[in-house]
Amino acid sequence: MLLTLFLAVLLALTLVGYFLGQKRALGAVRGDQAKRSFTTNNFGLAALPVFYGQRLAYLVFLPPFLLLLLWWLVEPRLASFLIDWNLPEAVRQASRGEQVGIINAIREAAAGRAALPSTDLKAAVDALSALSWFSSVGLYLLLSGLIVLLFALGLASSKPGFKARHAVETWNRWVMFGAASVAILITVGIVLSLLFQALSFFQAYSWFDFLTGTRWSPGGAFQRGYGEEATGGVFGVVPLMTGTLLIVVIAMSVAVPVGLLSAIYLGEYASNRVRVFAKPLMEILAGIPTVVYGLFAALTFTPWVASFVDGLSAVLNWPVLRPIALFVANVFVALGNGFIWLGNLFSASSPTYFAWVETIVLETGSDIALAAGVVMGTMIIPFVASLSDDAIQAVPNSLREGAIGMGSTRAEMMIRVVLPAALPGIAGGILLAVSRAIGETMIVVMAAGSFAYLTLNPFGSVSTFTVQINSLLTGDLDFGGTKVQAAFAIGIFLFLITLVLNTLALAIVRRFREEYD
Amino acid sequence: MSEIMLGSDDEIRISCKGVNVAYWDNLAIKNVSMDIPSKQVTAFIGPSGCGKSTFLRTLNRMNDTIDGCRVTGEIKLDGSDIYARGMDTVFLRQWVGMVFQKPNPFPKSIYENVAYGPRIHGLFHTKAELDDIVEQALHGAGLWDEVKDRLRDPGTGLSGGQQQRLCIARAIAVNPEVILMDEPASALDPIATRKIEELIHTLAQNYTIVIVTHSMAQAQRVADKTAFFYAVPLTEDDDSNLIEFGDTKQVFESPIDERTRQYVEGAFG
Amino acid sequence: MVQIIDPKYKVADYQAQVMRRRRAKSRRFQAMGIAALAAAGLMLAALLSSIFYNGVQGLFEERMTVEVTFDPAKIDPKGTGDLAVMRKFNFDTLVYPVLYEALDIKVKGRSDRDKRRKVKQLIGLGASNQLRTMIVQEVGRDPVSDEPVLVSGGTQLGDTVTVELTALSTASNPYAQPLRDLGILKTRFNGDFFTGVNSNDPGYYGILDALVGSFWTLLVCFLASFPVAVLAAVYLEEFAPRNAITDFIEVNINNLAAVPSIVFGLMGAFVFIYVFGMPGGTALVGGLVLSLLTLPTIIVAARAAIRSVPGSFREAALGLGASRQQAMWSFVLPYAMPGIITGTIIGLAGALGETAPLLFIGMVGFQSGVPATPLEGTPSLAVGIYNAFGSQFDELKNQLSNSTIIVLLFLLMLLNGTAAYLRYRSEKSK
Repeated sequence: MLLTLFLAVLLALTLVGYFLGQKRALGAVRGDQAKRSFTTNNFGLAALPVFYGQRLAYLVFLPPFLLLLLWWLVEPRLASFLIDWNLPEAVRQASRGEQVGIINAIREAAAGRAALPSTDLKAAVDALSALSWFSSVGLYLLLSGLIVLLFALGLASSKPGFKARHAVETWNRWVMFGAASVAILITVGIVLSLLFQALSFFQAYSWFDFLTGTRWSPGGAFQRGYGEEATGGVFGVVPLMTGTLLIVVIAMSVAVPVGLLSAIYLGEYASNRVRVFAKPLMEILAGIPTVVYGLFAALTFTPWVASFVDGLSAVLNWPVLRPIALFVANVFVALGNGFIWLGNLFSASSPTYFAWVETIVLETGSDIALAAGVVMGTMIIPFVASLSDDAIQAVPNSLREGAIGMGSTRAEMMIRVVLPAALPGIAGGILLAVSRAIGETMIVVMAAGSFAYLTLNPFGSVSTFTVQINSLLTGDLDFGGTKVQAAFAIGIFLFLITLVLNTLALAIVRRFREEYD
Repeated sequence: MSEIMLGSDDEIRISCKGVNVAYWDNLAIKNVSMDIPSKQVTAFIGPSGCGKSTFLRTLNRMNDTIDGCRVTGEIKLDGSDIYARGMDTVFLRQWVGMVFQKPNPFPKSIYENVAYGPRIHGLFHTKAELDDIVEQALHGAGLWDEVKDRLRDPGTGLSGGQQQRLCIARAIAVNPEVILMDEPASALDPIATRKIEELIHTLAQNYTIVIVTHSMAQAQRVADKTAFFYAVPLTEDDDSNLIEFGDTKQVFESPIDERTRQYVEGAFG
Repeated sequence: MVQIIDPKYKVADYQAQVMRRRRAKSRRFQAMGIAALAAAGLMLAALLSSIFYNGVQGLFEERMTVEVTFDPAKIDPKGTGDLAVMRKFNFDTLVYPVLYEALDIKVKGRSDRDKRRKVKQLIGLGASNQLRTMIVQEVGRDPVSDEPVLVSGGTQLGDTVTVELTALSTASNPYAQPLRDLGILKTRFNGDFFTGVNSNDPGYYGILDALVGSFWTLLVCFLASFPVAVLAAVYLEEFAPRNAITDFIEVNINNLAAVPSIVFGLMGAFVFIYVFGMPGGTALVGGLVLSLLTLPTIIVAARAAIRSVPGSFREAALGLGASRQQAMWSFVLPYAMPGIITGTIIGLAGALGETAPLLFIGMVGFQSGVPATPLEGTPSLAVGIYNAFGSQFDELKNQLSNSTIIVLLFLLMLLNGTAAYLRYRSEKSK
């Protein structure tokens, strides 16, 4: 309530300042000053009157507003800190759940909604009520004082010789610099929030187990019994790495050939009639939200792939193929654990399952990595196509003419001359596409599995980093809990991978550009 | 800053002493001294790259916007050092206007093109006054009769010669003392060029005009005074870019310096 | 004359043979290009036809029209007249006998138990509530006792009323066809889809809250990102000194443009909700998170637009005595504005389809009701699609999700079409 009033008064005073500043500056001009010179204008002022107004408005508005904003951002943290600081030793040693309850009781008591829970909490309650008094009343008194001070200061300095335009433009520059620095602020925010939560996670969970663990089971209850007791969550990212790798490889093996060949065809061969259809095709593919691709992958494409796999099983069981397929399958099985991921292709879902394969049945899970991968690849086609196109267009025409002049066919020119020359640019583009595929979320959330099987079977069900972040973070957010913190640990992993890929890709592309500029 | 009087009819309007201009470490202008007379036309001629445009732009500090440009020496406009500390380029350029090589009207209406200067300098109090300023400026540039019925049309829709006269009108609308013109007719056809030259003659009754031109014929037609710049390459031995400065008639008919003679006779350049 | 090339290579049919092979290779290469385009086109066709095939079905729904008798013996067997008692009654049971009778199914006994179970599954989730409100309505809570305040719904016990109820899973239920033949199940246009809010019952499901939520989210996103991005672009293009800080800002912007959206979601959840204590699940936080994504896009577009402004305007303005900032505000920025707006619209279109980051900040659409301000919990259209996908009911999971996609794609087409039109117009005028 007071906030609204305060903001209204602040805005009103800013407006008053805008007009009063102009009036004041004009009023201060003496008769002999009203002559145009190198230091004054027609008004006898060092700047147009409007700048005096703007400057006073800036002075009155910006400092109090920034302080208010700052306080608004800091206050919740300060409240938690004050409670924490004043907690009795006994409460500190209590369990997390009890602490949360006590802290809530303190907040209620400080807000006057409940009675003081116990006398040893009085210090915390008092501190908190002092804080809330300050942020609801004291702060506004303080800021009002500041405004009066600034107003007086600004009016006093609105003299004819004052270079108001310079002052306003300096304010403007700072505001613009502030806007540009938001990019830094966001990066810092990302790094700090990821680090803060990830470090808490690694205090509770060994980073070595995190990086090398072959089981990912955050709930702890989902474990299929193979030897270990079901305790807390198990967070080993190896299955997520293999899962992400599998899906990204599938996606890229769709996106790279299709995207690259489309770009070549559209750039070098296609008639205008074809281009009229093909350009929008790529734009539509690029503009469709990932949640739409996800729904398509889960509801339509996965059943198609499943029936395709069934058909494939039938083909493998043809009398001619059957012995060969059986042999290959059993070699995989016999090779044991080293190849267990692929051995798994032909048998049950548990990685430790060991039995000779007798019938060829390609197993599919309820989610099929292949389906998610192909749809993700489709999403990335326009991305690859446009980056390849950029790289191909950057190859100077003299190279093309040289090749054609020697009597090359168009295909020979592309394959022998243009593509090798454009290769670094294309490679950079593919790296960017890989980074995008790794970070892609909705398609895999909807069409890939939530259980992290350790397998490279393209027909099986795998999970990825982004799927796990999503399932750990959806629902009640307990930022102190291991599960949410684990999501941030994967997040920092993801951030680093994409950062490295992007930096690498941009460096390659830049070097490639410089070569031909 | 000492008390200054602008608009006085002293014989000399701009006085330069030992002016050097450097871009980073490359000296573009070396040791130029000249006095530009009031209410006359002064032409800068010379081969391309001799620094005549650079020197013109130092006269209203347009070079300030270029990174690494450094000016030393003394340039005084009506007795005030324009490179003095505390000199506001905004006020300076109000006194020293500029017309560029290519006509560059703003992408706004003809009226707004002319009104922009008076607006940012606060030269009027009422709308009627502004209308009056715009009309006077367009009259001054000899454009009024051609555009008075379409003041709201975009300035970019005019022909090249009209655009350049619009730019001149825009410059005189802020009532400057000096107008700098950087090859104002080089992008125009002969007829438009003639109009501009006639306009320069007329304007010289009220304004001090400094014009850079690559055409010696033009310099002879419009200029009272001519300065010959020569620069390539500027070595330690040359003591200045400015080879010769004097009445136009004298510079073209009986040049003192051998290089000037060769240049005006068309031996190079 | 010295012979350099072996004459056998000049033999005409050898050359012709080589040429044939090379030509064939060239044709194969071209065919691969066509195949690639065709593959992309095929996937798009599959995607769009799947969306429209299912989505259009979602725009129509079946409802059952039945004559229900509010039997006092069932609703209020003791005759207390107490609304609280009536409220506890399962009103679905009033519909069962009507359907059993129509389908010739025995009301009691083992033999028809499975049939009865199937028939019950046809009745929509909201049917019971719809009938209940005819008898008793809750108008608020008593401030002292916190008990619900109940009033009569207008219908008296013992009345017989014809009502239209929602139906569930009619596509797979064997009793749907007989009921259609009897005229009890009727297909009609699914108006609720546009006027209703999200609901577990496909019969009531609507996207109005998601639409409004998306609007609020985009509005916040625009307000938070556009001014900052334009000012940042102006600064970087026109005023920034060449120094380490500027370089660092540039590196940051380039990197942010490539950070996965899910990471922005993580950061947004932590910073906005945990650190600053903003209300989770609201369009305010959602818009702020999306603004982090659109900011680099708009900055990059705005910088390109500003760079394309001819330097002559700036020079002319400076020559007249404008300061650099005045030249900026009067000429450079207005001239660049169509390009900036185009980039902004494209950025906002991307934000409209963004889903993952919104899930983390709690925009999961558990609230019901159309949000009147950005400070209320709300889903967005994209989140709505994801939520519908999570439903156990076929209509919601397969059809209404795709209907929502149709609406989303329509809005995206509108946005991108506007951007394309603006770009076309500004190119024409230059």
